[in-house]
Amino acid sequence: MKTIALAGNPNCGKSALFNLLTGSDAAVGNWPGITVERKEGFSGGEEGLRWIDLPGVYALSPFTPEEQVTRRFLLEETPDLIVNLADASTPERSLYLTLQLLELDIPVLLVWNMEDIAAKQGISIDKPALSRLLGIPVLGVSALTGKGTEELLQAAGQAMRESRTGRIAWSREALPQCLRERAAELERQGERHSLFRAVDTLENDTENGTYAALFAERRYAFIDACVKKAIHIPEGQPAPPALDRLFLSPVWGIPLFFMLMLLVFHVTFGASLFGSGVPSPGVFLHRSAERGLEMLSALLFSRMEPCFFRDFLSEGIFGGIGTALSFLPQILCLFFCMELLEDSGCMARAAFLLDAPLRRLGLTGRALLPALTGFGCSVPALLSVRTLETERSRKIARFLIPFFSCGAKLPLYALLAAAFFPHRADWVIAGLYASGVLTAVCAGLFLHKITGKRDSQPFVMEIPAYRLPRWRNLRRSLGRRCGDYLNKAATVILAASAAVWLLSRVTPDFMPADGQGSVLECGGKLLAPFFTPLGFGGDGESWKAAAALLSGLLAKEAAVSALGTLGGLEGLFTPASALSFLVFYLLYPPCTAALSVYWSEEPSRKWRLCAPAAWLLTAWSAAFAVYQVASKF
Amino acid sequence: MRTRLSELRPDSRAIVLRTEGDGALSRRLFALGFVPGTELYCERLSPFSSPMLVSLRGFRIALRRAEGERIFVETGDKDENHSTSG
Repeated sequence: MKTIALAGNPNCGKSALFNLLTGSDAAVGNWPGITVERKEGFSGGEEGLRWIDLPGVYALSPFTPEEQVTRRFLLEETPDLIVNLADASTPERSLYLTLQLLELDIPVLLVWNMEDIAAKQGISIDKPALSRLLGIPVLGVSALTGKGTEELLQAAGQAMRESRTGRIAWSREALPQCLRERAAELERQGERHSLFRAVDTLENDTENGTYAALFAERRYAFIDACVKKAIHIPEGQPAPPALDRLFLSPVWGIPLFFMLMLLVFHVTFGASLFGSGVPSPGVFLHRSAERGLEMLSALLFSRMEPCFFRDFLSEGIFGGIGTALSFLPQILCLFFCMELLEDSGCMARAAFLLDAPLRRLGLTGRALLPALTGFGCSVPALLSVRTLETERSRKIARFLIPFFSCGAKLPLYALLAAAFFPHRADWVIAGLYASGVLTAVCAGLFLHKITGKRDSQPFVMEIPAYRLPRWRNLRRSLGRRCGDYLNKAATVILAASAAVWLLSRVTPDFMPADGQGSVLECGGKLLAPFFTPLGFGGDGESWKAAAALLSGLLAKEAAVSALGTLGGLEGLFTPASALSFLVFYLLYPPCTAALSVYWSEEPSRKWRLCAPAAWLLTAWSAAFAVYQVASKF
Repeated sequence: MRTRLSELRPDSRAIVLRTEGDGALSRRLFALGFVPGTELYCERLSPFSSPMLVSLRGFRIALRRAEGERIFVETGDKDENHSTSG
């Protein structure tokens, strides 16, 4: 089977095209660097094709780890063809990568995307002329509508049959004689990408830093010549979008961003939308789901004879999963809002505005996406940390991610907030999210200080154009989240709540526990002294809190299903201890899935060992402080 | 007038003279088009005065002052005293 690599600048629509061609649903968005790993997909056709979607790069000289993925794949696993997707509204910058790809010993197909947007800016590309200048086929496609994909597949098939690499016109015209000789020598030694290797070695020669500048200058000179002959670009810079007057305003930008975030929380958690008494969409969805599941439960179990098995099914299985599932619509509501912010390009603006404050934490504006992704799930957030510029900032960001309260923690917040603070539930929840962020800020300040401030963090980030969020992208991303959640409900949460139920019915010597002396109770009581200073570790029912926290380590939703299985919240908390419990739950170590990703992403052993302990310590101290203050009122 | 990119005021234009330094960051700046002769437009500064928003070759890029200091530019201004209007 033939392998085709999709390569191009960040945010030029590679993943969108990849989804279109292979029927996959890779994440897409309006932020440079959504794709951090290579993805594989297949398309039909005569023999079938294997497509590889690579992280976006501006050049083949890598800068961040996810860009190394692209370079390594192209050099080491040499595909049969590179489809070089290029954003037609930035033709010059796109061609820079094209020229580097032409140095490789791999056929290249240049495909322009978003030509309609470019046309509105007055940019038009004469593809036949450009094809003659570069010596490779040049096509157009719309990754949005799918126009041009037929031609693309045909051209790809032909290019692979001919297996003809680019003419590298520019290298003949613009590269010094000695370099071509060096390339010829490498080729004689059996080096596959001889020209690229010869150029790359000189570019990376830090003692003669001038080579990198020289090659870049020559490449752009060649590009300028191509533009003159084949691409029409209107004079001058395009006017900045009018919306930026507002979103990037020095006065209004940052308050506006925070107001948008508050609005998102209000729409998701507000019991009364703008004080009107009508529940917000998120709350409405949750209540409807809850009602539906109650009816389903009544339908399923009302006819069954009461017995151990029925109790196991209705309380252990259905009760546990049901509690977790009833929050799925509300979680999707939060994701929907966040996706809107990212897809429209607002998030990238916020990165520009918030870069300076983030700098104090040893981070850059780029850290905003991992952080906000962390509100969804820590696992993709930890992976997207790869887009940060230096290893030190990646270390700091990875440590801070779990403090950004993930979507799986939401059900427990909603449950406790509604039970103990019924009139201020959305404020309590927004407060929890804010405390998580505040903790991350404090921890970041501390880490930045102890890891040494000496090396400055470079920050270079493209600010994309505004785009109308696409329903198809939103639907896809919600579908993916929904699938992940259901998957987890059917596996980890199911197992955890069944285990919790069984353990709460059996004593340590395998006798049925009649509401007392169960394994779980004994375990919970063992941990109780640890939680006593936090207000939920005393006698009575409070072992359930410890049991919920333990199952929360498997999956955060399992904590809420454990409470559901164990018979609810009665007598478990006072408002003060509920608050301290919530804070502990917010900050304590992430679930096993996130933890294993943390361990695989973090290269330093010291950090791998210390981070979980540090998270636990932070959670305990914060919950202690909260309880001491709250119990005074 | 010759100056560094980091010294540009909001809403001003300049042409790149050269980009200093070696290593991965400069290669990144080269790839983005910060090569001699490229026209730049400094659109605005962030409320904290760094990073700055620069547009060149049809796209916009945010970069910090430290990165801007590596890039030497020529502005249209005749001299420094000439253009201190409010």
